[in-house]
Amino acid sequence: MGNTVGAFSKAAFRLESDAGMVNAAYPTTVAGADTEEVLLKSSDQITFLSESLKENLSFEQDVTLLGTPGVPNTDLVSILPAGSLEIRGFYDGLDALIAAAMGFELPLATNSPAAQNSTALISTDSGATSYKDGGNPFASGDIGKFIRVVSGAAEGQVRRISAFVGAGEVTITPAWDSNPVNATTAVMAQEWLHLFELSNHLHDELWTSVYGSYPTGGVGTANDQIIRRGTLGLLKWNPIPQIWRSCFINSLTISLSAGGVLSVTAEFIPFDLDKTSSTNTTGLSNNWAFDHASPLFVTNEQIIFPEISYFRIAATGDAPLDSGDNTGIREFTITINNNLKVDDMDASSTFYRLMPMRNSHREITGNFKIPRYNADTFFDFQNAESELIVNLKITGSTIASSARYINFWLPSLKLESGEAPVGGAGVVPQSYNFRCLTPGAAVTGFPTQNLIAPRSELMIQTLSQNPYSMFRDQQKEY
Amino acid sequence: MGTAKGFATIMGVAKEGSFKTAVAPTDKVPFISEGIKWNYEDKIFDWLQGSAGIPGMDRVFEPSGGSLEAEIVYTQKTDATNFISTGLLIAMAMGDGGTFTGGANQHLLVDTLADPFTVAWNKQINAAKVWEAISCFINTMTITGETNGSLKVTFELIAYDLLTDSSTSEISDLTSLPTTVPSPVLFNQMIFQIADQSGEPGAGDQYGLKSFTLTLNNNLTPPEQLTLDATKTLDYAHTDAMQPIKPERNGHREVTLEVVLGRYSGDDFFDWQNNETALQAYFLGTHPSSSEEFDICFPHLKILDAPAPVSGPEVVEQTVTFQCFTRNSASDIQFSDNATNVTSEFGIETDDQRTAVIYS
Repeated sequence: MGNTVGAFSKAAFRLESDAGMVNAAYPTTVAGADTEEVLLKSSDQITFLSESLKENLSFEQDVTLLGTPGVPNTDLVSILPAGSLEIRGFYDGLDALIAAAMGFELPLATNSPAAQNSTALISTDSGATSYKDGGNPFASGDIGKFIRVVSGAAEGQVRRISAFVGAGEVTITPAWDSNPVNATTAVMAQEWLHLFELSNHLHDELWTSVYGSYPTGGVGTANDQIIRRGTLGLLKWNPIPQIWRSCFINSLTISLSAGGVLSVTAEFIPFDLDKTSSTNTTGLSNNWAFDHASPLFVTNEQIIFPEISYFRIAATGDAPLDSGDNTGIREFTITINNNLKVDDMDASSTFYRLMPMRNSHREITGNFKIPRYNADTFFDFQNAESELIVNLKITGSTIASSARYINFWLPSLKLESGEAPVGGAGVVPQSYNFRCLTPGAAVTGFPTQNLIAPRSELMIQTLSQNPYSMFRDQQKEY
Repeated sequence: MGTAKGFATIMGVAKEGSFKTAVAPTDKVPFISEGIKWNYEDKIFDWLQGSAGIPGMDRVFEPSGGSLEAEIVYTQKTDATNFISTGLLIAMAMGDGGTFTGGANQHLLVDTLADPFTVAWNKQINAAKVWEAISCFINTMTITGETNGSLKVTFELIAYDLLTDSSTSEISDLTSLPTTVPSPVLFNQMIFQIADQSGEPGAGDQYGLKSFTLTLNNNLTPPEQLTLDATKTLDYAHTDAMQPIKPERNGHREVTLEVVLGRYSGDDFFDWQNNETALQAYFLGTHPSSSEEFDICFPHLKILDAPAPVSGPEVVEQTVTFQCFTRNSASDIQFSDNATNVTSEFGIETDDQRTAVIYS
C-alpha cells in the first residue's frame, strides 16, 4: 500500500455520459453514477496544482432522552460533495473545464471547433476503420491528425489517423459508428479553434432546446442532450484513482498576474465519490494525458503573463478594438459564478443532491490592475457608467502552423468600482472591478455569437490541439 | 500628463464655509497614505426576463470616502493662514475649532459636528486640477503611538463628493502651502500619568508604555440617499440625489483608550479594574528643544480589560483597555492653564506655532 505524495498525483476530467447523449441522466443512486461515469484517458488530463474536494457526509445524532448522557447512535443523512481544484493554465487541458463552466460550444461539425490549416476531404465509400478520398490528399505525416466528418449520416464523428495506407486512404481509430459513404465531406487538421459561450442553463437538457439548428442528420439525434457535468479523477495513492462522478462546475475563476502563470480555480459540485471505480480502475490513470493519443501532439505549454498579446479596452461605441486600445495591465481576474442550487434533496435522491440547477442569475465579474496611475480614463468611464468592451489575448508558440492561444472576449461590461490610492511614497497603482452584462447587439470585431437570446457576456476562444467539440461526445477512444 | 507617485503628492485641507462648497486648502497635511475613493452602488437588472445573464445595471448612489493616515506634528506655519499640521483634521474630528488660551489651542469634543472640510491632493495626473474630496466629515479618528516611532492619526472620512478634476483647488494652492519641515511628535516625548480621582496625576503616577491607541468613534450616519429637498427636511438644499446628505451623529460617540505596559510589575490596573475605580489621566508630549506641546487629557476613565498573559518565555506585558467618559465631579483634569476643565471624554491641547484658534 503506497503513501500519497502530492508530486505523484494527477487529475483528469471529461464531460459525461457513458450512457450516451440520449440516455444520459443525472444520477440519483450510486448505480446511476456508475452508469454516467466515463473512462478518463488520453484527452482528459488537467494540470492541477491542488484540490480540496470533500464528500461532506452529514450525520444526525440520536439525541433522544434515554436517561443517559451518552449518545447511542448516529445516522448518515446526506452526502453533498463539494470542493475546489486549483489548476495551472496550459493551452491544452482547459477546454473541458471551460466548457462545463460556460455551457455551450457550437455543435456544427462544419465549423466547430474551427479546423486551422486544414485539408478538405471528400470520401469515397470508407470502411469501418478507414477514410478513403479519391483526391489523394494524404501523406505519411498526417498520422496523428484528426478527421472530422461534416456531412451525411456520418456527420459529427471525429477520429484519429493511426496509419497511412496511401495518398488516398488512411486508417482511423477507433472504428466509425457510421462509416462515411461516398461524397461524405470531412476536414483534417491538427490545430483547432474553440469558441465557448455562456448558456442559459447548465442542467441536462435537449440540445435542440439550446440550439435549434443542432445537427440531427448525422450521428446526432433530436433526442441528444447537452451534458455539462463530468467525471473527475484524482490519483492520490497509486494505483487506485478516486473518481468524483457527475461534477458540475459552480464557479470558475481565471487569473493572471505579472511574472506568473495563468491560474484557474474551479468549484466542483460532484454527485458522489467512488474510491473503487469499476470504470476507471487500478492503473488506468497511467493513460491520463493531454495528447489525445496523437504522435503529432506538440508539447503542452504554460500560459504565462509575458505571452499576453494585448489587453484592449474601450467604450462600446469605439468598436472594433485595435492596437490603439492596448492597455498595460499587471493583473487580470475574471470569475464565472453560475449560482447553482446545490443542496436540494428529495425522497428520490436519498442521500444525494438533486441535479444542480441555476438558482439565480449568473454573475461574470472581474478585476484588472494597472501599475501606474497616469490618466483618468478609467475613472471617467466609471463615473460616466460607460459601457465598455474588452479583449484579452494570450498567445503561445506555434503548434504546427498556428500559434496556440486563449482569447477572452467581453462584449459588454461596466466598472463597478475603482481606486488609485496613495498608499505611500511609491508609484500609485490603479485597480478596477467590473461586471459583465449581456450585450444588446453584436460587437464589431468580436467573434460571431451563436447564442443570441441572450448574447453571452463572456466568450472564450482556445486554439489548441483538442479536436473535439466538447458537448458532442466525439472522443471515442475509450 | 504625469504618473502618480506617492512621494510627489501634496495634501491640503481647509474648513468650508458651507456644505457642498469646496474651498482651497490652507493646511498642508503631513499624510502617510490615503484610501479615499468612490463607493458606488449600482442597481443590477436582476428581474426575471428569461435569461440567465444580467443585461444591465444603473448607478444609484455615489457616496465616497475612505481612510487617511497622517503624522502628528508640532504645527508649523509660514503665515497667519497657512500651516503644516494635522491640527485642523483633529479639530474637525472633535468638532471644536479650539479656544486659544495662554498660547495654546484647547479642543474638546462637542455635540454637533457642524463644519465640513475640503481635502485636496495632487496625483500628478492633471496639469492644474487635483483630486478633491468635498464636504468631508470624520467618522472615526484613531491616534496611535508606539516605541521607536512617532504619533500617527488615522481618519475615516465621509465625503459629499469626490472629484479627480477639482472644482476649486488647484495644484498651485497645494504647492504654495508651507514647505517648512515640522517635527513629528515622537513617542519618546510622551509621558503617561494616570491615577484615581483623589488628586491630579503627577510625576509619581507615570507608567511606562510601549504603545497606545486612542479611538474616537463619532457614530455618524452612514452615507444616506434622499430625494431632492428644498430645505424642507434638511437645513440646506439637497440638489443631487446621487450624492449623500450631510451626515449627523447617529448615536453616542465612543471613546476608548488602549495602552500596553512594557512590564507587568504591579497590580494597580487589576485593582482599579476590580474596584471599578474612576481614573483620570494625562498624555503629555513636549518637544525637547522647542518646548512645543501635544497633550491629551482624560478626565474620567474606567478599565474594561487589563490582561497580562504569559504567552511564552519572554517578559510579561499588560494591555489595558479603558472606556473614556465625560467629566465627573471628582475629576481634577484641566488644560495647562490650570483653569479650564476638560469636560469631554478627552481634550487635546497643542502649543505650537499657531497664534489663534484653528477655526471658529
